[in-house]
Amino acid sequence: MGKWLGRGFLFSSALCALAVLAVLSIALGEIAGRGLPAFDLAFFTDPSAGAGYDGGVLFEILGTLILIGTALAASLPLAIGLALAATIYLPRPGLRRGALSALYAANAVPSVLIGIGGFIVFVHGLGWGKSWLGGGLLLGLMILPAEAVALIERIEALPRRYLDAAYGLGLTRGQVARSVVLRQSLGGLFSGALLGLARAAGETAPILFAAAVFSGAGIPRGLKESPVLALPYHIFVLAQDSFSPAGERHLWGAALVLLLLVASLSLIALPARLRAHEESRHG
Amino acid sequence: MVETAELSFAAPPAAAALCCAVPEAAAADTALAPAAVETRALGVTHAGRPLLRGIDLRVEDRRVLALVGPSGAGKTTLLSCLNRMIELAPGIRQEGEVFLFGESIARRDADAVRREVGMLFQQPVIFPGSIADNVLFGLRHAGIAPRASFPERLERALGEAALWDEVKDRLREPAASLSVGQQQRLCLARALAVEPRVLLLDEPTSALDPRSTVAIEERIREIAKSRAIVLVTHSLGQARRVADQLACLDRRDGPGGPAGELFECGPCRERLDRPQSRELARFLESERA
Repeated sequence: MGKWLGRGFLFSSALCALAVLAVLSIALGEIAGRGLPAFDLAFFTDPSAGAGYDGGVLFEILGTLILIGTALAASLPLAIGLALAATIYLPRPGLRRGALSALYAANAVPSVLIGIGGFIVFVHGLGWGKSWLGGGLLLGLMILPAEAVALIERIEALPRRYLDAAYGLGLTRGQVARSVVLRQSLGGLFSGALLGLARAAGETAPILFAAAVFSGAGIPRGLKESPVLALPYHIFVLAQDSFSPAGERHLWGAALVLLLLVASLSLIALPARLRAHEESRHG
Repeated sequence: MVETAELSFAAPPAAAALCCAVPEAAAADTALAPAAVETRALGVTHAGRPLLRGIDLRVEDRRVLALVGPSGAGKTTLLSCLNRMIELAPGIRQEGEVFLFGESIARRDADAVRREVGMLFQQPVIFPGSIADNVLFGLRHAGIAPRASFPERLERALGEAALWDEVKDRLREPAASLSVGQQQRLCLARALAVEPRVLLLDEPTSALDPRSTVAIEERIREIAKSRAIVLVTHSLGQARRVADQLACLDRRDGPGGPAGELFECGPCRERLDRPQSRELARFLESERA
């Protein structure tokens, strides 16, 4: 009986995995099939033209990179600080659990609410108008919980004996955090950053309110009133308004570029992530 | 509490607060010097449950004290009180005092205390990195010595741990490539590199083969020429081979529930041959069995 149950469980697990893979493959195949015809050199090197029906997506790519770069730069130090506070500096397990619960709750805040908050604070409150900095900070705020939670989970999986050995040598909490905890949790840091990056790159709502415009922007030259173009917003507007075949080709091309951007960022970080993971396991 | 308090079978349990005697030969040397480590009425509770109660212990400088007793008696807890590692565990409350060379450790910086009271654990703990990285770990990250002194300290620490000859040509190789016995001596070298005045060894040979055990025991005798050592061991043979003093810890019922208490402390061989307390006699019997 147990044997049949085990086989049944294995079979249903394999079936679920295959179903997920099939859906993913169909989606990716569809995007690739519809987006590839838009690809030529000019698509990557030219700015968009003709209400997004013509030209390329150069500034949309650059704008997206600026936004996610800013988001990472703003959120990673905060995520590291939060993770260290929750694991090393908060001595009471109750406080730790409270901090983790708060992070999980923050991770579930809908991005549109973050966008509206950013609109109130950055666009109006601080008078930045639409600005790459406001958008980057909002995206950073949005991905912060995911990054912090991934790092906390990695730190908590770290065997206690490493911390004891370091404390036993007379290292302070800060020194233990730097020399043991962060060093051996780099894999978690990369994972968290990638998770956040993937989410930030595809989010539209926060940048819609605070950072992105559909046309008329290039490389930002200041902080205030310096919007950027961004792939997700570009796709969003084309999907809403495009009724011509040229616009549709452009839309799918931009979607494929966004997909490749996220995938290539993951691939770039993969060797470093694997190396960090191996080092933390085997030394 | 520096006098020896001999405990006989007939002694009432409440009178079991003991200090370790100084061997006669060394008494003259240590008469004026404070003990390397001394605890007075040390007690520990975890979430209100007592773990240790009324521990009075004295460890002389340049001597080895073997701490024996059944599992769960609180030997490791007692060790971690001596360098304030106990404070890292949540829910722990400590009473009584611990002195390091006459100075209360509670009034000192905890990290500085841990630098002076090194610790070696049951299993070797190897950090990612090379053999040299591991030995210099404490020096490098605690920033307690100039970088220029690292090569000399590296050689000295590995020499003290009897590992220099085995690894001097492969200091940049991963520390994880060493055998378990070598890894434990590497951990010993790492602890010695920060030049502690006292060394706490928590069953350091429990995971090692007999050959590696002998190597560690030889090192303990050698290191004890310049430092005080507290050795937790389940091996009475090991205690006999390396320790000057013996202390026996066992659980006893008391206020709040059973907790580890010190039953006997004195010259190691003498106490092993003629135990003064029922608890040590019982422990010896069980170990022999």
